[in-house]
This record gives sequence, C-alpha cells and structure tokens, in this order.
Amino acid sequence: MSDKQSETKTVLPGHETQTEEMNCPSCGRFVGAKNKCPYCGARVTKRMSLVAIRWAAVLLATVGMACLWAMAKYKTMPLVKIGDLQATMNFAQIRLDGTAQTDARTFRNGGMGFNIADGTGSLQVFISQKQAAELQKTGRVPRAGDKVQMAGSVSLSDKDASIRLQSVDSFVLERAPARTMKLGDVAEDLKGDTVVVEGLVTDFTAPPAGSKKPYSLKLRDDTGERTVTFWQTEYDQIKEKDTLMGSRVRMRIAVSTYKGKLQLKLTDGLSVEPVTAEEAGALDAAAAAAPAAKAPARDFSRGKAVRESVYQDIGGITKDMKGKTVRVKGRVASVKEPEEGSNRPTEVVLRSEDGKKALTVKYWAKTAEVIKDLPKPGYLFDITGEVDVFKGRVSLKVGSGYNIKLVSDAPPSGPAVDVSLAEPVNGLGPDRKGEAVVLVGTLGADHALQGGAKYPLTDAAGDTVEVVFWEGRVPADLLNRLDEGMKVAVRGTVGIYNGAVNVTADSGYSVMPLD
Amino acid sequence: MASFWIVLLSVTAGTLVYSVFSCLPGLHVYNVMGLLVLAILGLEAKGIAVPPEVFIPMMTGMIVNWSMVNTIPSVLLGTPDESALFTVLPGQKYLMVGRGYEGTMITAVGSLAGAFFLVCVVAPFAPKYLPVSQEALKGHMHWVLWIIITFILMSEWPKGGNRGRAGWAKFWDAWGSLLAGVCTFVLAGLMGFILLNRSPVSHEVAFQNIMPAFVGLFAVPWCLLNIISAADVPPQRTTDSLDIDGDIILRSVWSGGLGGGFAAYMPIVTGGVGGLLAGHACAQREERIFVMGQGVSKFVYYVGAFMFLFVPGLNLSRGGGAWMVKTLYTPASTADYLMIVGSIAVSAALSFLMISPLAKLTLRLIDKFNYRHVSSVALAIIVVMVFAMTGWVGLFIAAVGTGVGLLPVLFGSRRLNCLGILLLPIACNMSGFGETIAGWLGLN
Amino acid sequence: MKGFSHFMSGVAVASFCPWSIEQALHGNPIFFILGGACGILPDTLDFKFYRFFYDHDVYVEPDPANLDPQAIADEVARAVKMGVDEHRYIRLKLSSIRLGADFWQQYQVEFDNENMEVLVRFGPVTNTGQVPVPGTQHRYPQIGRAKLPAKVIQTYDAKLKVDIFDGPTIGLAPRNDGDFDLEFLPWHREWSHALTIGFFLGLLWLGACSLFGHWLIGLQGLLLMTCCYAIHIIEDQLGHMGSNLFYPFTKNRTPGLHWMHSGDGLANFMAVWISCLLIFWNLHRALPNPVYEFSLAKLFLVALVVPGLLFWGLRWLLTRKDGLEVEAGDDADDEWNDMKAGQG
Repeated sequence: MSDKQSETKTVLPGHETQTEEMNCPSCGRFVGAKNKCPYCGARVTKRMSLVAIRWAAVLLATVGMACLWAMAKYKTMPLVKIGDLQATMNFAQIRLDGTAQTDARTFRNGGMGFNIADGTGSLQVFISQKQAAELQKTGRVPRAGDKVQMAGSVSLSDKDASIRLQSVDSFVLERAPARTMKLGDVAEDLKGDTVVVEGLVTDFTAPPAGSKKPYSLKLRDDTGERTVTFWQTEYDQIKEKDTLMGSRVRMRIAVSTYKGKLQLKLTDGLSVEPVTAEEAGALDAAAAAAPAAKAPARDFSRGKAVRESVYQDIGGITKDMKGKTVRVKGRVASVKEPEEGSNRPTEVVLRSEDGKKALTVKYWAKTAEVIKDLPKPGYLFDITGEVDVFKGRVSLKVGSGYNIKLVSDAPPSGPAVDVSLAEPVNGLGPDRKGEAVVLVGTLGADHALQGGAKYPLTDAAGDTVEVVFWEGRVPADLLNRLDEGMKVAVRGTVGIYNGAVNVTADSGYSVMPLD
Repeated sequence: MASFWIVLLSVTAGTLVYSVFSCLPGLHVYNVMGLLVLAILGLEAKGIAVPPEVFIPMMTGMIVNWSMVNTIPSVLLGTPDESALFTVLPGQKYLMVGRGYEGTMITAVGSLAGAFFLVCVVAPFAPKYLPVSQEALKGHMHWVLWIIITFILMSEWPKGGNRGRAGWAKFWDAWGSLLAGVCTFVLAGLMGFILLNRSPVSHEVAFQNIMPAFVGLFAVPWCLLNIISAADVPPQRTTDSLDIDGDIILRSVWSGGLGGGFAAYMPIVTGGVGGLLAGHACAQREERIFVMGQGVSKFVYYVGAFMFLFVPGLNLSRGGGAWMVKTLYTPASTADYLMIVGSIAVSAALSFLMISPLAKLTLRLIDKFNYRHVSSVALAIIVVMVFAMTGWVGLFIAAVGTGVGLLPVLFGSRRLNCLGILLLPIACNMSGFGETIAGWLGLN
Repeated sequence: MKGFSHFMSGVAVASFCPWSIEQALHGNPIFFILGGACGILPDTLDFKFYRFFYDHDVYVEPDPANLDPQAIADEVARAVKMGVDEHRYIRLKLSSIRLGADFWQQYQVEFDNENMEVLVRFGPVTNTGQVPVPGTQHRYPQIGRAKLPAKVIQTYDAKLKVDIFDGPTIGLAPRNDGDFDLEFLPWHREWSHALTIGFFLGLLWLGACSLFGHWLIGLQGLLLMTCCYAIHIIEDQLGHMGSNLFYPFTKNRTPGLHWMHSGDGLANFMAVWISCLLIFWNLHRALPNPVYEFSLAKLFLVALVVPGLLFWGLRWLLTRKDGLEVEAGDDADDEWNDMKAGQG
C-alpha cells in the first residue's frame, strides 16, 4: 500500500473501521463488495461470514421459497364451522359447507353477494365482478336453499363478518328443489322465497333504450296472470328469447314487494325453460320442498358483556343531539323509495308505539344491500343511527344495514284506533283542516286512485265523508281487507280537495275493522 | 365527565407504559397490539368486558408513542422499521459522527410537527374532503398501485458501470443491482401470493398471516447486518440545541406530511413508499429536512392511518392497527373521532417530552453494551415473538423472508422492492386477475 | 425535470384519454401504466441503457492510490489536441475517484480560454451524500495545468465537478473557427428525447397488439404513448439543454426555452401536484352520478391556490430575515446530480 493510501486511511474519519476485505490486498485500492480488483485484477477474498450469508440468502430466497410454495400448494384448506370463527381468524383462508340462505343479489359494481349458513351461524359471502360473471356463465349463481361448498378469505370485525370467494373453481353448488306453484297462489306471505312457476307468456315488454327500467313479462296460467320483472343481466341469460312471446315456459322467481305491491322477480334467465305439453300436466304432481330451515342467527357478541343498550325515545331526539348515535324502536309509518337512478336515500318514517311521535330515518342504497328485512309500513323495527340535522329537521342517518333490524311484523297488540275519540262526520268543516280526527262508520264502494283508494264513510247519523287510504302509508294487508259494507274506525287528518272536506287515513294501522 | 377522565388516564397509561417497548429494537407496535387484542378477547370470553373508552385511547397512545419514540432505536441502534429503513442512512450518519442524539431529536421534532399537522390540519378537514376523494377514487385504487409498482421498478438507478470502456461488460456491471432488485420484487410478490391465498400459518392465528414474512423481510436482515458488520459506534455527545429553524420544520412537514399522508390514505402503500414518492415530488436535498421529514412521515403514516378509521362517514380501514381495532369495535360517531384526535394530541405531547431522557438513557446503554449485542437481543426477541404467535411454520416463513430481504442488502438494490409482498398480489387481486395468477401457481 | 414529475405528467396525460378510465373501471390498468412508463422512458433509455454503450475517445481514470491533478489536466489537453489534429468530435470521459465505501475524492475541471489552458483542482473528500468530510479540503493543494491548442467554449458557467458514482462525459464539438464547443453529457437527449421515437414506440405497441387481434387497444395505445412520451420532451424543452426533437430527421439538440431549470424544486412540485389534481379531476368527471359536485376552478382553489398561498406566506414569514440564496444551477448539472442522488 502506498504512503498516500495509508495517509488516506488514517486521515478520513471512520475510514479506520473499514475492513481489510474492502481493499485489494495487492494494490490497496478500494474494491468494495467485488471479488476481483478492477484495477490490478487480483482476487479479493471476503470474510467467511459474508460469503456464508450471501449463499444462505440466495438459497433461502430460491430453494426456501420453492419449499414454501410446495407447503402451501399441498396444504388442505381447513373446513371450519361458522360458529367456530374467532376474531383471531381474521383473513384466514377456509372452506365452508352450508346452504344459501338468500338468493345471490347483484351489486351496482357487478359483484354479487349472498348469505350462507351451516347450522352454526351465517355469514355473508362476497363475490367479485369477474367471479360473478363466471358463475352466471356456468349457471352456478346460488339461490336460497342451494347447498354450497366454497373456499374464501374471512373478514371479521366487531359488527360484520363476511367471506370473500377465493376462486370460482372451488365453488360447488347443489341446487335445491324449488316448490312449484300456481301463479294465483303466489302471495306476499311467500316474500323472500323462491318458487317455480309455469305459464303462457302473454306479453313481453322491453324497457326503452338507455332506461334503467326493468323488463316485464306477463305469465298466465289457469289461476291468473302475473307480471314477472327482470333486468338486463337476466335477459342476457335467457336462451331463445326470440321465441318467448306466446310460448309456454317454466321459470324460477323470487317473491318480493316493491312500493307495497307484490313483485315477482326472475332469479336468473337460465331458469327460463320451455315446457312441453306432457310436462304441462305435471304441475300438480310437483312436490313442494319445505323451505330451508333458517339457521339461528350467529351471536357476534363473542361473550363480551354487551353494554345495555338504551332505547332513545323518538320524541326525545332533538337538534342538540346532532352527531350522537342513538337506538330507537318504532313502527314504520311510511317508506319512501328514491327515484330509480337517483342518489337520494330511502326515507322511512318511524312512529313511537303510542303513535304520537315520528322520526325520519334515512339510508342509502349501499346500506340497503345488506338489510335482512326491509322496512315495511306497520312493522316494528329496531334502528341504530346517527342523529342528523338538515335544514332544521332532525333525522336519523343509518350507515350500516346491520343496524336496521325487524323486531316484529305483527300488528300492534292494542287497538290501532281509539274508538272512544270518535266524532260525528257532520262536525268536520273547512275550519278543521289539518286536524286529527277519529271516525266510525260503514265503508261504501271504493274508488281507485293512483297509489291508493278512497272510500265514502257513512257514520251512524248518515253523514258521509270521503276517506283516502294511500299505499305505502297503510299496510297492504290491511288495505286489501277493506271492503264495501265493512264497519270500521278510522284515524286520519282533515283535508280539503276540490272544495270538499275529506279525511286522509294516517300512516300505519290507522283503520280498524269493527265487525 | 367520567368518560373524559377514563380516556385521559387510558391514553396516558398507554403512552407511558409503551415507551419502554418503543425503545426495543425490532419490535413493531402492530405485533404488540396483536397480543393486546388477544388479551382483550380472552378477557371477554371470560365475561370481563373491556370498555372501548379504555382500550381505544390506550391503543392510540401506543401507536403515537411508538411512531415517535421508536426513532431512538432506529437511529441509535440501527434497527429502523420499514417506513424508515431505506432512508435511515442520514440518521445513521449522524450516529457515526457522534451526533446520534442530535439526529434523534431532529427526527423527534419532525414527529411533533407531524402531530400538529395531523391534529390541526388533517383532522378538521378529513371528514369534509376525504369522502370526496373516496368517491372519485373508488374503483381506481388498483391502477394507482400499479403505477406505484411501475415507478418503484423504473426509478431505481444502476449503481455500477462507473468505470471501464463502453460495452456489455459495463452494462451488466451496472444492471447487476437492478436485476437483483427486480428479482427481490418478484420473489417477495410470490411470497405474497402464497400467504394471501394458501397461507401455511394456522387459520387460528390468521390475523398475523403476514407478520412472519414482514419480520423476515425487514427486521431480521437489519439485525443480522448489525451483528456481522464491523462498524463500531464512536462516542456520542448530547447537545442542548438543535441546528434547525422554522423553515426547515415547515418544509419537513410539507414533504413528510405528503408522503405519510399518501401512505396512510392509500391501501397497501406503506410509509416507505410514501416517503419515496414524496421525496421525489418535493425534491428537498437538505439533509436535516430529510431526517426531520422522516419523523413527520412516520408519524402521519402510522397515526393517520389509525385515525382514518374514526373519520365520521368514511369507515376507512388502513394499516394493521385499524384492522385490529375493527375486530373489537366499530366507530359509531363524531364523538369517537374527537376522542381519537384528543388522544393523539395528549399522547404526542407526552411522548415528545419522554424522547430526550430516553435517548440519553439509550446512549448510556450504547456506551456500556456492544452495538452487536443489542441487535442480538433484538433478534432473539423477534424470533421468540414469531414463534409464540405462529409456531415453527411462522419461523420458516420468516427464514425465507430473511433470504429475500438480504438480497437487496447483499447485491446493492433497494430494500423497498421487498414491499412486493403486498403490492404485487393485492394489485393483481384488485385488477381482477389475482385469481388467475394464483391458479397458475396452483394455489386455488 | 425530475423523473417523478415526468412520470406523473405521463399519468395525467393518460387520464385525459377516456379509454384509460374506462379500462381501469373494468380492472385493466394498462393505459395508466403505459402513461407513467412513457412519461419517464426517455430518461430511462439514456441513463439506464444508452450511456453504457456510448464509447469515448479518451478515458480519464485517475488512480486513487496516486492522485495527481496534473495527470488529469494532461489527459484533458490530449483530448483537445486530438480534436484539433483529427478535426472531429471528441468524446471525453471523466471518471470518479472512489477512496472508500462512503468516500469519494472530488475534483474540478475548468477551461481558462483567456490563458488557453485547462486547470484541475482537487476538492475535499465527500461522502455519498456529497457532503464534504471535514479536514479534507486541502489534501492536494496543487493545481494541475495544461496548455490547450484551442479554446473550449462553454455556454454556461457550471464547473465540471466530478465526485460521486459515475463521472460526466464531455463532448468537444469542433467549430469553424478552430475552437470547440463543450457539450455536457452529449449522449443525453441525443435521440431518446425525440417526438418521433415516442411515435415509433407507439407503433411497436400497435404491432404487438395486432398480433393478438386487439387493434383498438393498439390504436389507443399508439395515441396514448405518443402523447405521454411527448409530454416529457415538452417539459424538458422548457429548460436549457433542449432535445433533438425529430431524430433521425434532425441531428442536433434544439435549445430549450430557458424558462426553468430542471432541478427547480417549485417547478417540479407544481408539475407533480397539478398532474395529481388533473388526474383527480378526470376521474371525477367520469363519475356517472357524483354525490359531490365541484368545478375545476374550485378544485384548484381548494387544493392548490389556498394551501400554496398559506405555505409560501408561512415560508416568507419564517425566512424573511435570512435572505435565502438559491444556487443557480445548470440544466444538465441538475439532471446529472439527480441521477446520482437516485443511486444513493
């Protein structure tokens, strides 16, 4: 080593700690990590530990990785019961073997979701857009009651639990036999169920181009005619769609309601099959499959002592509580769905049990996707949300569909209308506009309105007033029972229409048959 | 009012107690939080409920304290976490010229400035503006990850090829390190595919699936290098003042805040990546800004990611801490958000005050104990922790990760390429072809 | 401009193409990747490929064990003489001097046209962060001098400073009057920063896509790649060095507009930030039913103008007593230094 090099070595701070192997043993120049000196070509020997670490790193990174890959590839994914899932299993890749509790529903982003239950609990399954397309193509879109085997990655949080499908290859579906029914027998009490119907296609209407409205198909059998609704996804799946009109077909439909009316939705276009003449006679012989037993709801409290949740009085919610999370219980008075394609929320008016206080509850489409039982007028619901104040009006904003729970779909046990408050019809005048009244009388012949019906009500004194019942405010089952000649008690609000006094029935169970 | 005192006591306790752990090299706060979550769940199983007003502020205190006080082992003991590892070099340079205390305190000032930035700037505006960006970016996160990957791979410059005549020899001399970087990225990505599709770790502790790999990729190589390197730490001196001014702080907050904030907001992007991008964007060459900016970035990244979970109406889960809290509690209202912001402020103040005495104590320890021994102890702690949580399988994964994590160190490429473990498989999954690749690998 | 600025500009240009967003929403990130990659590609081609194959006529490789500024000066003078004798373009490589793992000997080469000589001075030893090691400033006080047979005309004031990693290349271009023009990094932007090259790469993409029958994606990629490649060139044209814009139809660099230096911190940050805002704006515009409505002006006001004014106001308040001096750098200097900083 030259004097200058040693001078360099002694002068530079920290340089004295540089190891010898960083310099060429022949010419003394710095070579760094190189094994051969670029100046004189001499071989530079490195410390064994460094050489060993280099080889170890390369071996671990390559051979070790190959072993890790083999371990993973040949590992059997564990089959786990939903009830055994713990928080520490978050992100676990597991297999499930259960039954679809609901039909798969398509989300706005093209993905899909359904609930799966295995007798120990239930879990929501998420399927990506591409996977959903593949399942649709291969006719493996699950429907309620189908047996499902799948593998996926679990996501567990305080309130939610779900599993994301890992691969469509691992998705095995065994179809459940569906009840075959006559069209006339399909009623609201089948809401949520999937059934098979058969009939003659009498009308087929496509929506206008660019519209978000659904397709509608009228199906008729010997018990009646019904409209079946479906969208572009299902339409694309229908085979031989050109020969639908006038043909006899069988299809699988889901029973639901929309704006208080019964709605039959085609579950998937692949289920639309032509029916031969021989098969047409076999409808009565089809056995109705018992609906799949609903698994008990999984308790996500995991043993933790849940704080006693205090129900907030609906009338006690004020503007000062803005931002606070409250839990309320009340009866749904009305449900206002947003226009199709609009970003507005669904607005549900919730009334206190005594009917005197009301609160508007708002939730958006994304929240609605996971609501198990959608609010319907008259039903008792338990809702948790954040108090919001907009333009001076108090409402409750719900961010999670899991916070909207049906308590009871039975009408209130007490009398819906307090008959003791009844007053004579001749006491109603324009000066009483906006007042709440109770009337007792006999209904006359109804007159249909767009979105409702009006009945003349004649009291004991023979005086008559028009009473208006709006759909979406009065429960459909109640509305359907009203008939000419029925004696009823009605609670409503006095109004004026075309110069004449009328009464509009209040939301909820505001009419009570007295017969 | 009772809630106020419970929250205050909890955040104080979390901060003070965790300050001891924060000084331990190689121990990540998410690992300890994982143990805490297990403990809380264990208590709940026995019927003892731990109220959220206790564990949420406590966890906040832990994360805040760690993101500030962990500067001490990062700089003085040479064991930085991933968010700092490729940029700790300036801090270590302070150490090697006897100014380790100064380097630590400059970084700490950055952390405190980051706390001000988070509490006074980000927190008030996040509920208003983050939902706007969420709406626009929804559905586009996948390509953001892809362009980050593209930039990480394309922005690495060859280190060799500086001497000799032009030609292929010169080219390969230069590209050796680059190819090592690409190999590191691909191997780490392969590891990510394995762990995210068919992890050998038991499903019962799946919430720590990735932990052994991260330990192997980042923590173990650092400890090993410290052990085998021959560098001795020169005598350190403390100082009563720092060579910084308001302009340095402002520019550090600018670059560190951008990097840490980006990493906190984007899924999968970690503090190291955010720091790289912000460093390129802001192009600050001043070394003090570099060092201080790291403090800002680390604080904003870890604490900001945790804070976003509580932003009303956002429900953004970023970072391991937020995911772990979500298994115990779902934030419900603005009150939770204000509790978090207040806890951050209190904890940041306490933590900053503790850094100086803790740094001086650490310096006394360095004087007494060999640098390598400290790293050996850190390595032992890490190994025990991995084994305790994930068993032999986890140790094997950590070993493979160590092999991959050593490649950039030994062959001169960027350690950031190790982040391929998350970036590559998640970007593929988000783009919708992750399943296809997993199928090719036989992992479906 | 810095690499990240170019990269983000490329992504921003890609976001203006509707097919980029459409494909992205279907899970295909390819157009955004192409945009960013093409944004940074011109410098990648130069710094990561071409420079290793760029041959030189004279290699100045000082011996770290026997440091002598005179030897360096003599070699530089020899290169100039070669140019005079052979009357051609001479490529001179100045190699760096590495002393240790983190130590480099800095030296400067200066052309004194008045006295017709070249001077070489050794500076301090620096670390890889280009920070001088204390006490090493005057290790080699002597100055190497060598007479030049011709003048070497520099168009800028920057001294040729050699310190870390790769040393610079100098091109000596003979003039009609017998002197030489000094070109810094002649291999940089020689052909890579041409608009025609961007189009050519786009054609390659179209060709590759057509093999698989994806003509539409090919055409979309051709347009996108051409534009994203071009934005890099346009940004560089705002600086000093300029580029050879229509290679192979043109031979020399078209000088830049001198509006900025490539290393300007503010210009680079503004390029990145405005690119981000434009990307955000394009994504927002593509939403079918956005919940939040705002105009581009409002976006820029909230995200750029207001925070920018606050930041610079604070900065002014904090620095008004200090009298900040910003070192004026040359275009080429800044890019070269950035490349080396990226190696660290």
